[in-house]
Amino acid sequence: MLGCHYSKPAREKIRDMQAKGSSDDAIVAEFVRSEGRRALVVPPAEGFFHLAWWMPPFAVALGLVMIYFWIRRMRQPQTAPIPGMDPKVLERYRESIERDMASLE
Amino acid sequence: MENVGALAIILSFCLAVYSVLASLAGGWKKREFLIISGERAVYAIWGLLTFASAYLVYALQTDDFRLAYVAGHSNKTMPAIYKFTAWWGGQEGSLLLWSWILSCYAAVVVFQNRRKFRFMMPYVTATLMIVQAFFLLLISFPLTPFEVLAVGKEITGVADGRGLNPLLQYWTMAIHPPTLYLGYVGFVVPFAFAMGSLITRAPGDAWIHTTRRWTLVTWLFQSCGILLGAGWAYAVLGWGGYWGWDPVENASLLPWITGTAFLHSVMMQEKKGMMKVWNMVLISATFFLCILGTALTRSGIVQSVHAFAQSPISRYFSTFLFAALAVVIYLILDRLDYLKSESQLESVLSRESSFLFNNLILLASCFSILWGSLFPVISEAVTGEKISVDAPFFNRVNIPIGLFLLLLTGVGPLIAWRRSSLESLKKAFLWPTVAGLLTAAILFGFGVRHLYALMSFGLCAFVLGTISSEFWKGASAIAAKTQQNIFAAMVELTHRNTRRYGGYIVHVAIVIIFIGFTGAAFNKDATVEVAVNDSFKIGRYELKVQSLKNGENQHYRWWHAPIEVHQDGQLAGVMTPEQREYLGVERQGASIVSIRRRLHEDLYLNFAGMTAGGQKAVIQAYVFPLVTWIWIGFFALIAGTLICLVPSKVKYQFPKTRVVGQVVRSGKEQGVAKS
Repeated sequence: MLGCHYSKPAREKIRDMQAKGSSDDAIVAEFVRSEGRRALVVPPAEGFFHLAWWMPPFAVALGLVMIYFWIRRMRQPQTAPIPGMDPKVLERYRESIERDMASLE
Repeated sequence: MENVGALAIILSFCLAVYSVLASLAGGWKKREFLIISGERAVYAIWGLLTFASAYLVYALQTDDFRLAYVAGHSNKTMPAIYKFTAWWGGQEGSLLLWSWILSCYAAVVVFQNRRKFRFMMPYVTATLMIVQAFFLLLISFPLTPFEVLAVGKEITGVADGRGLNPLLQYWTMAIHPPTLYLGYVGFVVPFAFAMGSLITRAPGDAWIHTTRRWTLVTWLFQSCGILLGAGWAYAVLGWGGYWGWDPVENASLLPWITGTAFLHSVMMQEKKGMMKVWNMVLISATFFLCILGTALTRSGIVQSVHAFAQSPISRYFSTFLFAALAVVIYLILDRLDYLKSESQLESVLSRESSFLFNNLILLASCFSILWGSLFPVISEAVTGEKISVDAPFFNRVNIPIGLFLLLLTGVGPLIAWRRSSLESLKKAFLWPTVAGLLTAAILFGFGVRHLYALMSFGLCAFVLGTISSEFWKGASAIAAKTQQNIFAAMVELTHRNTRRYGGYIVHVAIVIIFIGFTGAAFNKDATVEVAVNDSFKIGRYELKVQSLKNGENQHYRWWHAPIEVHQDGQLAGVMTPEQREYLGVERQGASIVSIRRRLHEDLYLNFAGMTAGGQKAVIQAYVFPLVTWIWIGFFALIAGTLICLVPSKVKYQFPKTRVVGQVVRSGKEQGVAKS
């Protein structure tokens, strides 16, 4: 929000430093020196803070692995006929299922 | 009389506890009178909370500053509408609103289902009332909205209240919080049914059919709440954005994402009896994220411009969350046999698989947003150093995820249930792919070099292509059969399967919203200090300050800067950004931005302040291409969701593939499959 208690003095400080010829890096370094690394808008890519960047892709990779195993488990298993069931009856069921599934949206 | 509101809340709390115990005991021991008395307690709670809410609103309207809440969030000069919205303008009042909405939902659920699901309803009621009791506990003791500063008709301590934060005195803010709460609270209902079915091992998917409309309506409210909040941020906060990835904004997005994933994956359960555990996890996650979102806004755990003042309720929320989480995990693990899949996945190239990837991407987005929002807290706990995670982090992580999701929005409808052949996929994808590539190539030819923007526009064209082809194929068949024109046939097609084609319209809305988001790649901004008659340029506009005016009315002081907008040497209009200082105990300031809205771009001016002893105005100017499409997409989303809620003209049957026979694994291990 423009004009909030932090924004106004921060903008003035940046303007003053720019007027004195400070580079962008020098301005950022000055803010980090006075306020700590929380002055940065994103976590620095160092040490523990790497976690911030690596966890989202790690989660996607983990999800993909889980989907792989789920698909492997859920693929149609081999089936053996129930003892005593007429193969013709089973075939009729299968055909009926095929017909029903074909009419799905 | 000053204490009747507090009395109503405490009585409601006692009744909620009673309802939980009576419903559980009645359900367990099969005692109908206990079940019915538990349900009647729900109606009584609704009555009491309606009274308490009405009493608070009356106190706000009549400037009853004997109540600390009224003194803290209202004042004599506020318009009546904002005295009403002060109900949810503060921590205590907003929790009362949360509780009241839940009591309304609970009363409707109990009334609607009083003769259905008799075996399940006691547990549904108990779940609803556990949540109700928790929120009533908060407003009964640590955060009562009826704290009394003085007793009796005369009050001398407080002459006037502090007033509502001026930033909240805006029309969308009048409806944004209740709309969002209708979403947050609404997700408790499908969660309660999910728990009811889990506890009773209810056969079939009755809870899903029963709660589908609830979930959809709740999702709609949540969507509206989020977009109204975005509209408010854009028009009021003056920083020129509609989404800042603030932790509280993120908190509202998280249950929306898991709710969206649930709405998709639940179709797998309805149509194929698959993913039952996953759906249970998703609806539970949605519920917990609603509670977490409510906690983040109120506990001071994360820093946010939207949060209420810090309060001591974080331990109440964490206790409730951990206890509820433990119960839900136990129930799911204990009833895995009940949640077994009824059919098998037949091919990786199937609609089922596309739903899986859709769920993965949605959850990846949800996780990254939650992770980014909580990382400052985690970092402080681990390293002792609190760092910032702001918009650039979320954009970097979520833009690729969003684009992939957009791709799936187009891919999903073209893949058949069960299995698709490569040949049919080639045929289905040919023209949409051509449309996407052509769009990207044309934009590239016109000089667009922003990679994400090219990808986004290309994917938008691809998705519109796939959805259009779906409508075209269906409508052409109907038109040929019934001799209707193609538009009438499209209406007929939609009416025949409102859920499917309404869903496509929601997808179109998402595409339109993405077009608006993508415009941000071409934003321009400038901050200038200008005196009267000074000019400056931004984009294709030349802006000239006409005058600087100030004045005062009964509510606030104001400063105007009428600015002429010239385009191609012609006067295109005058814009008047304004600054206000509200009169009241606290002189709070606010910017009223001026926005010239067009379909292709908005010109946005913010009067940020005065310098040079009042001789110069600080003006922030922005050009936002395509942003209006976000709001157009919002209306399309409402329309699509409402169509989904209309009953279909044709009742579709969804046969399930069941495994007949015995499963043979590794030639040795054998298990009996369902038949």
